[in-house]
Amino acid sequence: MLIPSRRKFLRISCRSLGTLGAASLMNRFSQVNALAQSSCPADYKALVCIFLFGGNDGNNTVVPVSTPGSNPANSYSKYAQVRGGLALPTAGLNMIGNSKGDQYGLHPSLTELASLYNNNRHVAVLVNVGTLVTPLTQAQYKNQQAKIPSNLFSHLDQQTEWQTSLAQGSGATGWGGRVADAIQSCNISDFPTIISVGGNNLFATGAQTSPATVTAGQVLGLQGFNTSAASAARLAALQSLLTFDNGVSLVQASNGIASSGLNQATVLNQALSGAGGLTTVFPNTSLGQQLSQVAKIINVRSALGMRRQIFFAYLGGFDTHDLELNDQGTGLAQVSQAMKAFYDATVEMGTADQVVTFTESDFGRTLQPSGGSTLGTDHAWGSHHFVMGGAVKGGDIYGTFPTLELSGPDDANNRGVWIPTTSLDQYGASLAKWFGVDSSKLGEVFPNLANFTTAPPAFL
Amino acid sequence: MGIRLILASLCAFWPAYAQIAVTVSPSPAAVHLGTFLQFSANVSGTSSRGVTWSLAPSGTASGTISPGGRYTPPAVMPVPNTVTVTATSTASPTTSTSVTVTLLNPYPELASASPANIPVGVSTITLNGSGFAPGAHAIAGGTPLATTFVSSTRLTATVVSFSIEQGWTIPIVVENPDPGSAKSADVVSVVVGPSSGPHVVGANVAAHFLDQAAFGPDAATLEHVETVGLEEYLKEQFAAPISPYPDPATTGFGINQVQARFFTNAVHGQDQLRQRVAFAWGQIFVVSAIEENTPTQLVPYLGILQKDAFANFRTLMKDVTLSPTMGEYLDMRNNDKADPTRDTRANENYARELMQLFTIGLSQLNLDGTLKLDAAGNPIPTYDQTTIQNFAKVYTGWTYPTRPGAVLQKHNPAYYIGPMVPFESNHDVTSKTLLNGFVLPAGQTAGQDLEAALDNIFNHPNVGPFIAAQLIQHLVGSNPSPAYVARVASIFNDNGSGVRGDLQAVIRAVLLDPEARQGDNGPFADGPASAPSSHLREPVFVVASILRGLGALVNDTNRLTALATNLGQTIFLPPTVFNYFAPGYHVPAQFTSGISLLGPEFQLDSPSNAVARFNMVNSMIYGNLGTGTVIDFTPFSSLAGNPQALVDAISQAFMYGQMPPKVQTALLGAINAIAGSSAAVNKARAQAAIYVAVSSSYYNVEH
Repeated sequence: MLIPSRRKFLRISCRSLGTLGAASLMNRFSQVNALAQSSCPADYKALVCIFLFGGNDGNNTVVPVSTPGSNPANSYSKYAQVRGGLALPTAGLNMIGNSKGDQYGLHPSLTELASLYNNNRHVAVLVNVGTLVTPLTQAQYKNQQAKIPSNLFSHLDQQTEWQTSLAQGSGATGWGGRVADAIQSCNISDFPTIISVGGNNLFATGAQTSPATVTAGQVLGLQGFNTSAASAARLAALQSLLTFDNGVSLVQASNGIASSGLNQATVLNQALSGAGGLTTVFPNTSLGQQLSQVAKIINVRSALGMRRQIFFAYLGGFDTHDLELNDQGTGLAQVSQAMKAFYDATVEMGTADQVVTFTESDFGRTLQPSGGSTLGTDHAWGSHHFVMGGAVKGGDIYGTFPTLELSGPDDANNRGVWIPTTSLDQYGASLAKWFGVDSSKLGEVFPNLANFTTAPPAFL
Repeated sequence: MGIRLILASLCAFWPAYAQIAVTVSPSPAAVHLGTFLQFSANVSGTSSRGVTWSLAPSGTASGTISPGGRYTPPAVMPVPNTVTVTATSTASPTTSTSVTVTLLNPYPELASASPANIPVGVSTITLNGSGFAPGAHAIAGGTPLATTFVSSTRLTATVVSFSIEQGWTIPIVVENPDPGSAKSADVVSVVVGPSSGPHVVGANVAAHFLDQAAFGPDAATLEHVETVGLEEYLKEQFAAPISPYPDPATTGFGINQVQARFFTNAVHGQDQLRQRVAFAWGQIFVVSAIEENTPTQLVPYLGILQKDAFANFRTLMKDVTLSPTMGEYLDMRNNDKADPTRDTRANENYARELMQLFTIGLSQLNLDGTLKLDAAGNPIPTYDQTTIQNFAKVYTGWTYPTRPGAVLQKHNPAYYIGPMVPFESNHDVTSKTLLNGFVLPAGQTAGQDLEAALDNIFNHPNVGPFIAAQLIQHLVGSNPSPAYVARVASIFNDNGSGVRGDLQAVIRAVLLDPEARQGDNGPFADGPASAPSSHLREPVFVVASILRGLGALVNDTNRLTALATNLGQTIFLPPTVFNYFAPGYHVPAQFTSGISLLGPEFQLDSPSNAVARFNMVNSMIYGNLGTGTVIDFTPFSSLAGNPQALVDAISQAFMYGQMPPKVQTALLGAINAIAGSSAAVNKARAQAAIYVAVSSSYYNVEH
């Protein structure tokens, strides 16, 4: 690694530090942006990513019951036979159909999502999507004849690849961040396009842009200052140290991040202070409160000067190596209830057609259970995901449902590890295209997209 | 039909005729303050088994009893030291039974002794802790000391030492008197000797070193390290007695006392290096109290990390592997061999994470921690999915330790004391192919397979560089040079006497390396911008190091856990086995002017959390942290009449005595804006200057 000398170090820009209280929204976060696209839409749209950390078990999220139209090889009894003690009884499943006349069952905890799917037709299911570099047959995978995603089955690597959409690994930017790079200049203000309510993450990190962060429940902005001269002097001292370059990069990085945080809090406080509340009640859960925070920010999109926004929220606890029946149910109930409340909030704000919410997760899990006093499953690959919003062509299932058979045609090894038939690049590109990223820019945002020549799933 | 009718009639009149009785256990009962006692009641003579619990004398001075019969004694001993617990049948309110409960003094917990060094002769020491009862006395090396009870959290005692004891470390415990006399499980120690002698290293060197080998400098330790030097201090620290975690029998079900003890130990523990290194091991060999959420589960695991902090790495590997807590967290306990009738396979969780996260990582490494590459320039995997499935078979058959008096079963009930035990018929005895093609023969016992498999991993060439790099990141800096990693990895591979995995040698190599000592003599006048020995303080370290610099007093009633929680780091609750942050986390390039720099702790440092850090410092300096954390600003406020003297004291306490002029100017600006000379003004000046100093990035990035 070449390490520049401290003299070559470029100072982090902190130009707005002197104006913590009363800055304009304009030009505060501007940076040279090579990825920016030239044409800009004038309406408002938002993407909301919900990342299910740990690897949600798709096999118990969407269960085939009677599916002659989409995969005649599957049946509930075949599913139940392999799943053994982990098989969900049909009686508890939330039944959904598809345009091919099939019957699938959503996990018993997904009542609200099933209702949005069936009644409002604003939820779609995308099956067997996962990390891929190129389309991959079982033979190609087993004989290593094509590029295979790096470090399959490793949480951290697969989380990273789902966030970067670079399955070959080593991505330094996230696909959400690259979408923001392309579209940041379309916003009226240069407040960050991406707001993470789930802390730092690669999904939201672009090459030129970086996200704002908000933690639900945390105070926005500095505490402990007032209008006295002593307080003002202490604030001035604090600010002077934010611009102190002692030549150590990590000190400068810490200053840059703190400066961003102070600026973002100031702008958000200003925008939120004039807003009325929402009447939609959100569950008092981690994800519920995160999505409540997202709704509050969407509600002040005009005050913030935003035409395009991307949000990142998350829920952990899906690494169900044991106690799966209990733990997955708890997690999915939280997801379903929070997503429903969020959908209701977008209706209340009149933005239901302009906001699309979608799920990501590390990977799916083995169809075959793992032994122990309480059953669970191990790390696998392709899995099923949800897309929600007024613009979604909901009430249908997209993609190719894998054959639920150990060592069967879709199994990467022998435990029911599905080789994805839809790539994350196709999934993400469909979302990005709807969001307004120029077709000419999609290849920059999703470098592997060109490897996939089949039509992407048309859920939008 | 007729009989039923008769029975129904009888039942209707039952209360009038039945002999209802209530029995309560335990009876008689005794309970220590600071703990609780669960009563149970048995009601006979009626199908209505409910009781209501009551307490006499009434009022909170007697404690409280829950609707479920859980009695919690009061904080202060009542006179007389008995209360009466009564269970009354809900079916028959005239029927009740009472039990006399004898209240016993709390179990004393000892956190620290101050000063840590006493001269030969007569000295007064202050003992900090909790649960001290009036009449408690200190015992030094078996000899009772003249002791004064100050409060339930503080005693003072007189120690007489003789010249022959010079250099001795004297262990001290506290004993509460009857009723329920008990000694503290914790031992603190004082060292007899001149508290100051000729300095062998400068304060700047000692202070910088203590940011790496301790939770930051405090005045007493700083003076001590200046006197004995770095190498001698390490020797002392390797031998220092362990500051333990509280006995789960005394803590109740919640882990808050265990969390509080982390901060008590971090601020006052005399085994600073062990506490620091054990915490680093806990961030590599991760379990989380999200699942292991009681002291019964958590404390034995923390004990392993403390005990093995300076042991051999192979010992640490085995103790962690067989820990029932880890077994539960990563599913090695009750890991069944493949079961054809249920069509299940061995659980892969521990097999994967022991290699990926704890020992070798995903890709083959050179000695210096850089990736080995194949002819095409790609990383070379250390193992594949088949290897994982083979290791998963190795780890089958183990279950919780057998409870005393119980019989070993395939799946023992949960129990966390001691190592897991094998149930041989549940162990997969087929042959297994491990790393580098090593084959375990078929037919071995669970123990034989385990030892051979752990040896197979331990001897993988990745372990040295993998562990060296992570220890350096936790103790010294985020971006060590490959040469630094190689030097430490070489010591891991061979401590100079042919021993692999000698952690004392490894830690010495980490802390005494020239790269770790960079910055001892000034803030990188000529160093690279990457400053390899720099890293962001993680939130719990921010809390502990500020308190040490301020000379604060902390005991087990502290509420410090919440401060770091607000910055995304709840002690002992990392979100997953991947810890609070990843060793490979890169600081976003926008903030490093495009230089690619690792910054694991920066993963928590989102823009909003960076703001929250200012607010946390605000709480510490201006807020009320409760009686468990006492900050006396006098050492600083007494200097505030002379602003430069105040700045110099803050520089000594927090910036290695090397505060740059720009930082001094900032502090002076904040001080001089507060006019006057009253005590309140002086305190406000000290607080303003300390706030500016310890909230700054200059302080929060160790360098």
